[in-house]
Amino acid sequence: MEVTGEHIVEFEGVTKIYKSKASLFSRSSEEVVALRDLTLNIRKGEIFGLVGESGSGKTTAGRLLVKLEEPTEGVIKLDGTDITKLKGGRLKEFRRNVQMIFQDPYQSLNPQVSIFEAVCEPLVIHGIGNSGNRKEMVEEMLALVGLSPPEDFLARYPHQLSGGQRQRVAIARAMILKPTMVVADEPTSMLDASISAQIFNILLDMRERFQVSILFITHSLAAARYLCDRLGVIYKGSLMELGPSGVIIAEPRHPYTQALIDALPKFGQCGSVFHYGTLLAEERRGIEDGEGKGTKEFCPFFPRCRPARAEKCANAMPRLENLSPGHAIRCFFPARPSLQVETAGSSKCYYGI
Amino acid sequence: MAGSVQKRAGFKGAFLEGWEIFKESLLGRIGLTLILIFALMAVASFIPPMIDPMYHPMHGVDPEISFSTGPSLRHWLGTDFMGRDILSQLLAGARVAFMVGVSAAFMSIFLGTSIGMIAGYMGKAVDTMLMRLADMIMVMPTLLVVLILSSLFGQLNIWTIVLIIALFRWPGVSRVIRSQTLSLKTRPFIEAARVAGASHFRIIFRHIMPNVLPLSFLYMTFRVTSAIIIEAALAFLGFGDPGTVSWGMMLQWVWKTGHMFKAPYWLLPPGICISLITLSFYMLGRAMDEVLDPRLRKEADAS
Amino acid sequence: MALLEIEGLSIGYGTRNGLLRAVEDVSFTLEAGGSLGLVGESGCGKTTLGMALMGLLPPNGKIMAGKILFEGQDLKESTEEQWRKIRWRKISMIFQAAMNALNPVHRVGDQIAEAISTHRPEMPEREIMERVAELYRLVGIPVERIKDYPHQYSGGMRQRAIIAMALACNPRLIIADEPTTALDVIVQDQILKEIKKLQEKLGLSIIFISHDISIVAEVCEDIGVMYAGQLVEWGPKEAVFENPVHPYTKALLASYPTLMGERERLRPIPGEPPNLVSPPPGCRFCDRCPSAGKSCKSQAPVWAQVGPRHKALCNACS
Repeated sequence: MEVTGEHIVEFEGVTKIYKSKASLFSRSSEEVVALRDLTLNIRKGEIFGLVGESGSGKTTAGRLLVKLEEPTEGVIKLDGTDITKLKGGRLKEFRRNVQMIFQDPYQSLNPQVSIFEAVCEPLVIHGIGNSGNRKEMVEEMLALVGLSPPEDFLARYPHQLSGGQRQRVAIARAMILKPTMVVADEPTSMLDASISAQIFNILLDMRERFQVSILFITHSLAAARYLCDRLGVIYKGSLMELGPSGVIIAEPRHPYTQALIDALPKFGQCGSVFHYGTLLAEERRGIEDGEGKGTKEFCPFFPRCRPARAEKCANAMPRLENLSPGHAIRCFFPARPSLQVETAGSSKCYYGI
Repeated sequence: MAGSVQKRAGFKGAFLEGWEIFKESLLGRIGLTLILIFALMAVASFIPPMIDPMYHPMHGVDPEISFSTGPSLRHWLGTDFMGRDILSQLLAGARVAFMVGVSAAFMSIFLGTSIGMIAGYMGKAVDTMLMRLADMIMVMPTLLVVLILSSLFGQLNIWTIVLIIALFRWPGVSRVIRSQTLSLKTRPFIEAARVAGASHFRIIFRHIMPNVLPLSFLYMTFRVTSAIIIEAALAFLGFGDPGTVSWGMMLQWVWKTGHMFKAPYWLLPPGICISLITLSFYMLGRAMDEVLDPRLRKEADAS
Repeated sequence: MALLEIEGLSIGYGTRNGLLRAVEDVSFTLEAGGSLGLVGESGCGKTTLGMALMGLLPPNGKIMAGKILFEGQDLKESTEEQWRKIRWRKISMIFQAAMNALNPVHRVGDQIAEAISTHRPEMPEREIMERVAELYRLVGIPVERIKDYPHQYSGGMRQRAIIAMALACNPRLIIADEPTTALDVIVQDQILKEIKKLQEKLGLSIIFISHDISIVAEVCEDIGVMYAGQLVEWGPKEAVFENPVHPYTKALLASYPTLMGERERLRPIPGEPPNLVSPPPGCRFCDRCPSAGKSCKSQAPVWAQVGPRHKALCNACS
């Protein structure tokens, strides 16, 4: 599959703010900025990885893209059309083109609905096929996700399947409409490590076969590097580093990306692996709960960043700037490039996914 | 997971699995047996008038008797003040009890489940409106309202009574179903259906309903109980349907004709039947509760 | 003498469908100060094994055969009374970082103090509080946070508090069952390093249970690979990683990517593990095994000694 330069998805200055209502105990309503001014695009046929910790806003970005939520500010475009204002027939058309694979396969399949019905439902909703050929279509898709022989699975129910099998069903359900864009929200975080690889390979196969673009949301840079063409590293709602996955893994320039690579669990011949050590053992205190709370702009990673310099990093929010074409970072003091070319030198050092 | 029981598939499987747990419950077994006996009585109520017209519970009168007599070979439970057979009245009462109880309960559950699901799923103004309505109806005493209505419009037909009971007894169910729906609404499989493009109608009836129905059925057993009691009370107070023989009606006749303390063979059977049938549906409900509530089940497993 | 010696341990669960053989004929030893990582897919019996070592099997679980020799004494026959003396004082457990491991309505420090006073009723309160402060310093939580409630702690701090609680009575052996699930990568890394550091500093023995080899490898010296209730390979981690013998171990290792070099397609294991109510008579992995021979299906595998401390349960491997 060739990744073209055309964009299928464009996030333009997307911000999502959650407001908690004022309650008996707290008068003022509190605002949580889940996503701050996100601008990125996903190319046709590409697997784009959004990497971050819990609470980084990565899941929010995915939910905005499938219209489970609406952005507070900004525009999201699919094939050049603003999706935030879709209604009626246009919305249904959108639903046909954009699908999602959820994190927890134990929760994303209705326990009362058989596998056949679950995979077939999108066809029924969108009036595709008829009762005769739908069964064939479902069986074909089940076979593609590696549930074989497919007819054995049709009459089963989710609780009779293992977690990995359930996630395959969820993928089949998402892919049966042949969507152009799929959001995969940490599809393996509830599964065993050995099962994760199966799911990753299915996603790769799906891209190959259907030319689908995938937004892959994950907490693991190792998984992202395996699957993705390009990566965005996100921290506390802000995109910190953006670029081709090979470049980001081999030459990370943002201290946070470096800290994420340091933290990956690994085994094998890892003796020579370089350690960046950009993470402070103890957070700098005071900046988030000090004076003028919420009004002051600062780099979100500053409290945990070793190379940070307070006079700059604590007083302004850096902008996302290009270092080289296609590689951008949000940092006042980017690490020097190629500090160590053979970083994770050994190709016999394996990483947790 | 290791140690867990292999679960069975689908509705039929879930039903079988529920039945396994249900069987273990003594309450459930007693309740179900009693209900079956009453159901047999209801079916048997068609037999006496076929044997002899004098056994018709309403119009049949033993030509040789014109006052209340005790049990005899001809009238196993005796006769009432007009010489009508008490046993055949009792059997007919079982039929009425089932009719009233099940149909009123079914209607109120249907209303309560639909309204609860819609309120919970739609949220916002729809939710507020429906739930305020539910609150308003919930605080109105059903019996009193029916009494007032029947004093306004005269004797009420049995189906009117059923309808009124149904209209007044849905709010409790709808509250429960609403909160269940609220928790289901945020479950990923509902979101997955939304992403697939499913309409609200489809989400409510295809995805939420199968998950709340077991709860609805549980509440139905409790509603049967209350509908039977309300009908009996109405009939006893003289507001029943004069064209039907119900146990409440029988009690009213006992009382009106001054046989309260003179004819235990006439007073006791309908009284016992009302108590037993409400008790049996209650026991059935409790046993079903055990099937549905995983917390109760765990305790049972551990012992 | 080894601290822990497990010999032919078999554990079963009574279920509606019959006896589920969750653990079958597992044997290994753990020296004082050693660390063993048990890895395997969910349902392979690793958690059951951990529970048995704490005397915490569920009511329908039963040890059917074998010995659990801890300091030379067989724990299998221990009564609940005896277990209470062993649990926390000799063998303790680090639970998952879930919120429910700590009671939300009590201060964290008090909960640790209570764990100590239950097992050391003779200890005066002041000494207990000193001990709690000492534990806080040990696991790296600021001592002034003793009076905080669980919700005021971050996920990482909560996990540290749970570790502190496990260490409260100076146990000799710690069983950690997936202690870093639900934690973020960076916090997970910190917790793993903390466990490793404490293990070395206090001379603890650890059994670390996880489905993820990469996590286990961060902490442990020895690796035990479990499949379908059986231990299938056991040895020092270098030996297991560099020279994996059992086809299942090889397949597991091939499920992990590298960061450098060409992106090679991962080769996950096809198929599903067998049903443990009626396991196949021969090798339990043979249906998924690329190198299974004819006899594997019918003939039960025997242990092949690969190195002085490295063995594999396979007939086709030697």
